[in-house]
Amino acid sequence: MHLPHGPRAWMEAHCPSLDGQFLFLDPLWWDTHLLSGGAVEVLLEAAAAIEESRFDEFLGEIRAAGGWPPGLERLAHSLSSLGGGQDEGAV
Amino acid sequence: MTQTEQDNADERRRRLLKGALGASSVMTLGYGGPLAAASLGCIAKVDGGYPAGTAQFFIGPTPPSTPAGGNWAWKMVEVNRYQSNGNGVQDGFAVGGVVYRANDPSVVIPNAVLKTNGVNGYPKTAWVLAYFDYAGNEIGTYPTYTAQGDGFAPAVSSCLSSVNPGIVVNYMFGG
Repeated sequence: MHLPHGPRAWMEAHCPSLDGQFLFLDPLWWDTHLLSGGAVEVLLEAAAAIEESRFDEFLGEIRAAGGWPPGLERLAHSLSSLGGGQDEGAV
Repeated sequence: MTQTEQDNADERRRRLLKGALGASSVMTLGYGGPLAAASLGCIAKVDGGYPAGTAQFFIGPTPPSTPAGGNWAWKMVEVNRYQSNGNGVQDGFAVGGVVYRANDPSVVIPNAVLKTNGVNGYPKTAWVLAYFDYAGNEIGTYPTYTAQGDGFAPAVSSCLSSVNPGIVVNYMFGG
């Protein structure tokens, strides 16, 4: 079995749809959160920014857009703990 | 892409991001969270143990039970009588628009024509093992799929109930 570890692969594997909402598993704190579709879009953008090494720029865009909704910033930072998309076999 | 096009694309993305932020909500799960976390990825963790080969097809009122207590998701199909290319009739079942032989379920009946009408005892109830993506959405059944692959696998009852409870009623569970 192969478990994906990059932020985007994590979103794909650990954020399933549940009747219109999404159940997200936090890769850092290992707890779960029920997300709206908008929150998932933001986390997908965050995951792409992390993998493209422009997460700081992304955080600036969030500030410019009015800031984080409650609870979402922590999840984006948890995704950043996964780094730039290495697989479990990477060293 | 020109600088102007790039600027326009960035501006569109910022607008989309702003809209997504406005439509964002996060509800941290309480006591049930750790249980849900344990279940997440349960289909990805499947590593064999499910029926293999032609044992993924079973004729009977319910899916097969086994001493090992397997509890995999099975989908119902109907066994009917089919004629192939004008030859004799034989039992078959349809999956994904293709008809397979009931006595050798990996073999296709070419140009199958349904001949069940008026035959006593048909259709018979049968079962094929179902395959799911890691979010618990069915991607297909045996014989279209014969073993787990990249991104999909069979699922047991408790796992499917956790990741996609709304579809559990579409299946029965067994060995």
